[in-house]
Amino acid sequence: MNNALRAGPSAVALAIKLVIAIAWIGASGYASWVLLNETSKVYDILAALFLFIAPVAWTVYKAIEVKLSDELYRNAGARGLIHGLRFAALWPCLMLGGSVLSSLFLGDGEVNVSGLMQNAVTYIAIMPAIAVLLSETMSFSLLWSYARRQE
Amino acid sequence: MKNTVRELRSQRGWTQAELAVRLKVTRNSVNAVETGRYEPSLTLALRIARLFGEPVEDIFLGRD
Repeated sequence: MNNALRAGPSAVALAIKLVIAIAWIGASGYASWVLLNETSKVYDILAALFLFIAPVAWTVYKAIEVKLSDELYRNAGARGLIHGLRFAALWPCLMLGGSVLSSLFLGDGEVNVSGLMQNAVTYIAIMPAIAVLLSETMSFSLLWSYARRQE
Repeated sequence: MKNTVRELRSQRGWTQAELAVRLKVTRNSVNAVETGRYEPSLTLALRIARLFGEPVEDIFLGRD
């Protein structure tokens, strides 16, 4: 990579990452559905492997990307990651709390614990992809704001 | 933080891209430092000072 020629954040790179993150959310949701339902053992293993490998692969990719970046990109990446991880940590609690409150006040007044636990698995399964989606978007917006007054 | 990187670069007739090559950073980084949007690390600030042959505090704090 020629750092000097890299004039600004790449919208194409962001679009590719967002497409990957959205596909990852869908695949993680499907994998959690497979694990929660009676399917074959092979499907269970594949779903579990996907949930295991995808975040590890992303972590390795980011570690390599950081090594190849200069300090401005590293700084924006780290700050984006903080925001992404913060929301990802909040996400299951927001969804579960919101589900319970909406059941109690807007629904039949009962909490479906079994359904809640199944949803919790899905929420947790898609957490890494949500963190990636938000952190990449945040990093891009930071880099874009740095590049606004480019000569 | 205000700095004199842009003035020092202009005095030497370098473009942002040329300075970026000398500093081994992206042009985006040079622009962000010049406009004061990004405060460089100590390492980069020292590299800039060494390249221009000026004390780091003169470049990033001004002479006043």
